[in-house]
Amino acid sequence: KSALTWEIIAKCSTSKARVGKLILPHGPVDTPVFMPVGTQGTLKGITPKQLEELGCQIMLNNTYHLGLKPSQELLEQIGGSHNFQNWNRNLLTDSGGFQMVSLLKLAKITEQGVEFQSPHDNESTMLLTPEHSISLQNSIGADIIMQLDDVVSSVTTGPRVEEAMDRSIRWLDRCISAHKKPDSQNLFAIIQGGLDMDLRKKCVEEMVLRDTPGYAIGGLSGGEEKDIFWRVVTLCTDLLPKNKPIYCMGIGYTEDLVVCSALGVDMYDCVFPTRTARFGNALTSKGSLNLKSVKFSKDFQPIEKDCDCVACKSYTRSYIHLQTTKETVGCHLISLHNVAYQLRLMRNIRQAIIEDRFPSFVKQTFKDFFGSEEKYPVWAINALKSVNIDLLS
Amino acid sequence: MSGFSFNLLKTIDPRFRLGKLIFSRNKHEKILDTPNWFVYTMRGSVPHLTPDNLQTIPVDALGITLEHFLEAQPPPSTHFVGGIHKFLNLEDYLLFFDVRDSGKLQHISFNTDKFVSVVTDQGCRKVTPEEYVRYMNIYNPDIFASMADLISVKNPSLKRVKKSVDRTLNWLDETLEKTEEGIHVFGVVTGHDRHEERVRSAQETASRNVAGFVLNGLDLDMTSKERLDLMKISLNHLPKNKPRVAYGLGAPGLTIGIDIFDTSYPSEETSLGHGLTFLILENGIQNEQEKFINLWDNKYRTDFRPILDGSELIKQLTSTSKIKRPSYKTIINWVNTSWNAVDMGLIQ
Ligand SMILES: [Zn+2]
Ligand SMILES: [Zn+2]
Repeated sequence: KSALTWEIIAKCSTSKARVGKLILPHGPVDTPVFMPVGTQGTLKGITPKQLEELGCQIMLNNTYHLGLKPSQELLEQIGGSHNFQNWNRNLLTDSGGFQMVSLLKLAKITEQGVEFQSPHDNESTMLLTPEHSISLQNSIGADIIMQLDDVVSSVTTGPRVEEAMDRSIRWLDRCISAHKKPDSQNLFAIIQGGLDMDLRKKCVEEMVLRDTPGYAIGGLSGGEEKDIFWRVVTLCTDLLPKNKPIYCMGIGYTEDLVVCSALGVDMYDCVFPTRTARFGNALTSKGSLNLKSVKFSKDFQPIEKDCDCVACKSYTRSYIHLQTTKETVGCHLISLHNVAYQLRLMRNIRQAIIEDRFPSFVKQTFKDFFGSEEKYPVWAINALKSVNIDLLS
Repeated sequence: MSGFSFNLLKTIDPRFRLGKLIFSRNKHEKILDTPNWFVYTMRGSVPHLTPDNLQTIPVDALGITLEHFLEAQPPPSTHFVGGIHKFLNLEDYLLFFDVRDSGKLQHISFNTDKFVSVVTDQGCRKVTPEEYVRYMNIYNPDIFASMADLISVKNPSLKRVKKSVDRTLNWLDETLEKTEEGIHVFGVVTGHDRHEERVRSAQETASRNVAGFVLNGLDLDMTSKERLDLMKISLNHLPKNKPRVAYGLGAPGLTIGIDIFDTSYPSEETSLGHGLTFLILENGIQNEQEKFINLWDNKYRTDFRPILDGSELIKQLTSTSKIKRPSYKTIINWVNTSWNAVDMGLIQ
């Protein structure tokens, strides 16, 4: 069962890049799409209205945080996260499992679920089962929800990787049967299998049999070799059905977004643009600027010349330098710009694919971003070459 | 360059004043109805509000503090061509400058005949009246308060108080001489806790060509009643037809003839998670028993009502009393530690 429609409207004639129209219960999403992360039902310092004006069509919320506060009971009462945060566009929630494993030191994974120390009293143990995760996500009411998976670090090797992959398949089945709202919420499976191509292949085969509305590539961007990372991504996009959207979790750097789109990925999320804003870093097509630096104190240009976000339309780098890390306004303005930057990058990617000039767009983007060819990451050169885009020609 | 005038429309005994401060911005004439506020800023921005959010609140005038810009001297913004309104993206607003923070007077070091000591994140800085006027001529704000020698020790001697009055007057003379046309200077009335010095300061300041007056209550370390009484002495010796600004007073300032206040009060409340819920009506302050709600209190976790349901409350109140000042402005700025959402509201 599925509460979405998905249509590919343009394909790159060189690479695997594609543009799609995803229709979700709270409106359309143009893909490839970057989803900003609003951990507790808000992007720090950005109002839902501002996010809408930036053209954001889908935001990610963290189930673990919303489950703690405002809590499941409250979300039920108010009718879900859309109402709670006054956001009428689409939401995606993660399963909560990854947050527990990464935030809580003593999390333990058993066949039942993820066992963790209660954040309320730090003594009793609590258990997040696939059923519990889905029940929480049903209460939150996001348009796309994620299965609970058994996450191992992407640098783990040995039998634990296979165990986690097999368990993720079993947990997917439990999530599917626990899912109470397949008419309004789309449950995505998460492909596991670490950096092992055979395990990834097996996982895809099994999960495709479950016929979920979309698929995510999980267990990556945890510090693994980038040259292996892209090979896992491209294997998954090769094997996954062409008629379903593909979401690569935790991706947000400019070069990663461009490369993964060339490999055929449709959806991304990352805390990076908003987190880095808090440290005064503004993203631009020519690399990032640390606006805390004194060299910007008399720089009266906007952050980025052609950006039409509130920060760039209204202020100079000098003004933002004055505010940044001292006043919350500085962080809000850089966050707004960074989200605008990410959304614009994705819009430009889509436009280039539609006009079938994606390869030259990729080359120009790398040239602007890295300055000179010596600075191009080798993995990106290799990845793009695998889909017939030669960065160095 | 900006036009500027003040019309006192009505007074009820000498204390309650209703007026209009007329100024022009961006070729438009704007009116600041008084009593009113200068919205408090930090480093030239309204705390937490990006400009698009600020526009949703009916604010006309902001108070800017030079102290917040003085980590480096001259401030980098003095190199910006086009004035401070443009630099701060506040071209439609009346900007009022002062050297020191209107919300707190942090003692750091002594003042001398030549300079005032100010506090920055990088430590103590000195600023001379000559530098101050030079920065103001570059910034071109609508109004600025001349530099004052505020006393930050307890129980100062009469000699110290006299010196404070003399210095402040000398600096005012230098300021008036050097300020470029189109920028309006408000004189700061001092005199600390000495009756005769307050009178002298008020009379001498009033005899100069100032556009208005500033009374700073922050250097008076005493109860608000004592503070009001001292300010009243100064006010009795000021001409009625010029606007008076006061720092460090809440609503009681309305009862001694102050026209414009600083808004460090709502900023302070916001930082404590307090959403203001009171209204000022003809017959006094409504909701006085609960002037604010503490949004960090767990009991609001399950409260799905807005901070203040204006329409509901006003309907309720209008049956018993009339709302006289329909544009009483309150910024309800909810910054919750964990959610960190910005919610603005206006009570009308
Ligand atoms: Zn921008
Ligand atoms: Zn409100």
